[in-house]
Amino acid sequence: MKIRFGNVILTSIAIAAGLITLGGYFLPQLYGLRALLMQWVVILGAVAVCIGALSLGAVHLKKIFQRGRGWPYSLFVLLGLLIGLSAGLVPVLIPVFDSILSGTPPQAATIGLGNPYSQWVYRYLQSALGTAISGLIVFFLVFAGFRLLRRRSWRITSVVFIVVAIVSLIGMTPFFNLDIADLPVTSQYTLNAVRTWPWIWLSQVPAVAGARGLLLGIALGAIATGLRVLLAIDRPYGE
Amino acid sequence: MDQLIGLVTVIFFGSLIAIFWLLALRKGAKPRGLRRIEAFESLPATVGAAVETGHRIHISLGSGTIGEVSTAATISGLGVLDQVASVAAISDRPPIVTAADGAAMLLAQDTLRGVYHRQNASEQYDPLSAQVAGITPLGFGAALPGVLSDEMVAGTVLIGSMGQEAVLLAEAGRRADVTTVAGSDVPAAQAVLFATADQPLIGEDLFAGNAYINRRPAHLASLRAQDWMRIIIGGLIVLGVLLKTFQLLP
Repeated sequence: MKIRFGNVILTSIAIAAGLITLGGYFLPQLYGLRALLMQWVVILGAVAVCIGALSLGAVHLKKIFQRGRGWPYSLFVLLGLLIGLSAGLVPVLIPVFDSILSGTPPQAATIGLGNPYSQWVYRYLQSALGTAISGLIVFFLVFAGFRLLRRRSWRITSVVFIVVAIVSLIGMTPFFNLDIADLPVTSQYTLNAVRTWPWIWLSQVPAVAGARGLLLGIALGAIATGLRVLLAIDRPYGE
Repeated sequence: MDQLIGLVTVIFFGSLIAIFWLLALRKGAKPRGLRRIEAFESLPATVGAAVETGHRIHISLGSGTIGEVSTAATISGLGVLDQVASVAAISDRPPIVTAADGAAMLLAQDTLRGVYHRQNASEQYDPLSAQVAGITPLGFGAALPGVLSDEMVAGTVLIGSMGQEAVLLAEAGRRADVTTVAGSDVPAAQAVLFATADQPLIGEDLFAGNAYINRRPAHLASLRAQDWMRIIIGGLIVLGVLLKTFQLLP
C-alpha cells in the first residue's frame, strides 16, 4: 500500500489535536492548550458557516440557470439568503456611509445579537416559518402512528409503540383533570391513582429506562467513533 | 474522581478495541458474526436498485455540526457515505449528499472526491453533489423533501444528528415512494423515525454502519468492544441497583 507523506502529516495533526483535546478533560496541564484548540474550532466553524451559505447559494443559482425541477422555489431561497445577509450587513454599512458623507469618523455599529435588523428577520421570518414547520410535524407524526401498524404488520414493537403513544396521549388530555374536590377523600385518592398511575409509571419507569438505554448505546457508539479517529482507523479528513 | 473514572473508562474502551483488532488480525482468525440490522442488510440492495434504474441515492448527514456533541454521528454518516458512494459514484446519476453545516459539507465533498479519485474518475466529481440544504435544523428538514422530489432519488440514507424534523424527510420519502434508511443520535428523533422510516436505526445501530458494510477488522473490533462495554456497564448498573436496594452502599 502506498503511503502519501501528506496523509501522514494530516493524520498526525488530527491524532495530536484529538489527544490534546481529550487529555484536556483529564489533565489540568493541558487545559490551556485545549481551550486554544477549541477557540480555533469556533473560528473555523464560523468560516464553515460562510462556506455553507455560499454552497447553498451556488446550488440554487445553478438550479435557476439550468431551469431544474422546482427552480422557482430556489428564487425564494436566494431571496431569504439575501435578506438574512443584508440584515447582518446594514448596521455595519450605515455608519460607514454616514462617515463618508459627513467626513467624520464612523460610529460603532450594533452587530451580533443586538442587531435590530437581524432580530426583525429572526422574529418575523425565521421564527414564524419554523413554528409553521413544527406545526406540520405534529400532523405527520399522528398519521405516521396510524400507518405504522399497517406497514409493519403488527409486530410486537409496533403494538407496544402504539399502546404507549395512546396511553401517554390520554394521560396528558385535560379530560383527566376533572374537578373531584366534592368527592370523599378515599374516592379522590382512588380516582387520582387510577387516572394518573399508568401515565406516570410509563413516563417515569419504562420510558426513562429505555431512554437511558438508548443514550448509553449512543454514548458508547460516539466514544468508539472518537477512538477510531484517534487511532486513525477512520480518517474523515482526507484520503 | 469523576475525571479519573472517565479517563479509566476511555483507556479501557480503547484497549478493548485494540485487543479485538489484534485478535482479528491474527492468522486464521475467523470473522465474528454480527447481529441482524435490517437497515444495513437492505442497504446494498437499495443502492443497487438505484444504480440500475438510473436514479440517485441521497445521503444526509443530518443537521449536526463538526466540533460539537453531534460530531461522532456525522463521522459515522461520512463512513457510510464512503461505502455507498463507492458503489454508486460511477453511475449515470451519482449520489447527492446534504448537510446543514459547512464543515460537514466540506468533509462530505472530501469523501466524495476521494471515492472518485480511487476509481480513477476524478473528472466526474462535482463539488455541488455535496451541499448545504439548510442552515438551521428546521430549515434543513424543510429542504429535504425538495431534494428527494427534484433530484430523482430512489433511496435515501440519513445517518447523523437530527431532531424531530427527521419526520419531514421520512414523510417525503413515503410520498415519493423512496426507501428510507434513517438513524439519528437524538432519542426523540429515533422514536419519530421508528414510526416513519422504512428501515429505522435504533440506539447505537447508527454507529455500526461501517462494520456492517465494509467488514474491516478494525470496525468489527470496535463494534465488538462496544457490545462488551454495554454488557459491562449494564452489569455494573444492575450491581449498583442491588447494592442500593439492600442498603449495602452508603
